Amino acid sequence: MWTFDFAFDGRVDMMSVNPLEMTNFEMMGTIFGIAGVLLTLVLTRLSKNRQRPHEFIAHEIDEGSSD
Amino acid sequence: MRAFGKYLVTFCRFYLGGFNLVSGLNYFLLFWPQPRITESTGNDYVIISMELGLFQFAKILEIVGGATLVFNRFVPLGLVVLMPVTVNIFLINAPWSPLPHIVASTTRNMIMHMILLAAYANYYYPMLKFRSAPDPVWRDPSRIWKSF
Repeated sequence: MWTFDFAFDGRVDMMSVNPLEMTNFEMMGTIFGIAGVLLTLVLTRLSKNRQRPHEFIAHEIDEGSSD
Repeated sequence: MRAFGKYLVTFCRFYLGGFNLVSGLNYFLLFWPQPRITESTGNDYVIISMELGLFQFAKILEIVGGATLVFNRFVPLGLVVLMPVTVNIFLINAPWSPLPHIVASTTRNMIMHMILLAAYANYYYPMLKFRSAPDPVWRDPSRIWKSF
């Protein structure tokens, strides 16, 4: 019979469907998943800063000057 | 909602990629003990596939497919490569395994795979051509690297 038990005992309770009871592979998948989402969040935030609309500041120039 | 979908797909891609990559590498490098085979109807299939060398082939597919998902390169191809592995593991375990954790785990992987296939559906729409004409690769092999 399935259970929803969870314990920090270093073993996987194979009768439990609690998502916190993880095998090594599930644990690696979860670590990769969370790290990937965090990395995507950071990269999205950084790219948003880079794509900020260019602010045009008008300033008069003297067309007669040599420079 | 759009952002949630984006991060859900990202999580699924990294989860499935990490899971398969580590599972495949573990078979050859054995940094953890291999999971024990439990008594179930799907057992014979696993044992025969090991004897035929299909299991080793599946582990290579897991490494290749997992790497495509983790490194975000050739993802639609990686999903197709991994599909037979995910489907077989699901069909062997979900209806037959006496361990609810294994049933939940294989079902979760199957659902994540479906979500990813749906998310990258735009790459598969060309397959839905009702009538199709061949355009063999040997006529213009350069199309392979041009498509990179």
